[in-house]
Amino acid sequence: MRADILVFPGSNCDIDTEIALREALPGWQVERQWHDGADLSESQFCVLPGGFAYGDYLRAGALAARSPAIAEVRRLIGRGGLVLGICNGFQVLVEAGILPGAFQANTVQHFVCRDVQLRVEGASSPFLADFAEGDVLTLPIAHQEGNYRLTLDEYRRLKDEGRIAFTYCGPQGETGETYNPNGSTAGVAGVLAEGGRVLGMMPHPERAAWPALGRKDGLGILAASFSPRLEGGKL
Amino acid sequence: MPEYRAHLQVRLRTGVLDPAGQAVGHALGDLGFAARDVAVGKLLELTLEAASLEAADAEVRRMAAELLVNPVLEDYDLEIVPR
Repeated sequence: MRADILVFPGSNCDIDTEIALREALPGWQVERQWHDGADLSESQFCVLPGGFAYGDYLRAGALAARSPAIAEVRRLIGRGGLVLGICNGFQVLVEAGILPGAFQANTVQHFVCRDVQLRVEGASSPFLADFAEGDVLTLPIAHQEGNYRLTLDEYRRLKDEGRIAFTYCGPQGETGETYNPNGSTAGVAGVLAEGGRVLGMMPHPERAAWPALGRKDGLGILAASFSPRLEGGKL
Repeated sequence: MPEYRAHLQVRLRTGVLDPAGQAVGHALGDLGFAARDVAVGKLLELTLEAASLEAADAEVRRMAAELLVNPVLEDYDLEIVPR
């Protein structure tokens, strides 16, 4: 089994993601691939990592979303592979039209870098196999343009289709604007494509997946139901 | 083929929150200016060859649809002049 991490000029979370994937998926081949000439034909799982692909020129994720590597990502999705976009990778998937919505600058007008709590919503996805609806995870965010915009109609449709993966919340799972770090519509922190095999999320699971860093909530997301250590849905 | 210079003024659609415009508006207020409805957009300029002004216009609008403008959030005005 093989997982690939796409690296664009300006990606900066690719090595962290590689280390975390090796932790989450023991026995897997984990490779970082430069976007130009990337080949995902052997891959079961592709991660678009965080960073500032192409310097966020034009719009965050806009230029990476038009690169030939994204055609490879679309082929992987067509074959039923898993795709995870983290932070800037989420922005790329949205700009590519693979996930709905759009991103704007945080309403607070500055870069936000801190731990947040996330409520796991009742979505059906391999990325959420380790969790139950209502679980509260702690993961870090680090972004300037994490204000995820959905129209009210889009939000309702995603909710009806069980495609909201995570909502920003308080320590007990309580939701509301108090706990919304960036102004995202309804505090949405992560969404799924139809079928649940593509996940985009602003928080960084790879920064909470290494025991030395003290947090492990990201491991279950990265294991994406594949880990041999998953027993009864728990790592 | 004749050359044209295209100027795209990209702005946020009406009703879309503009945190940058609000921040600039606040700063103008701090300086004692009474500006309202401050909006921050961007200007894109490019040169292209086309058979006619109409063809150039259509080509730039395709560029806008495929890459230059995000229709979810943004709107644009296009001005094209022969070079």
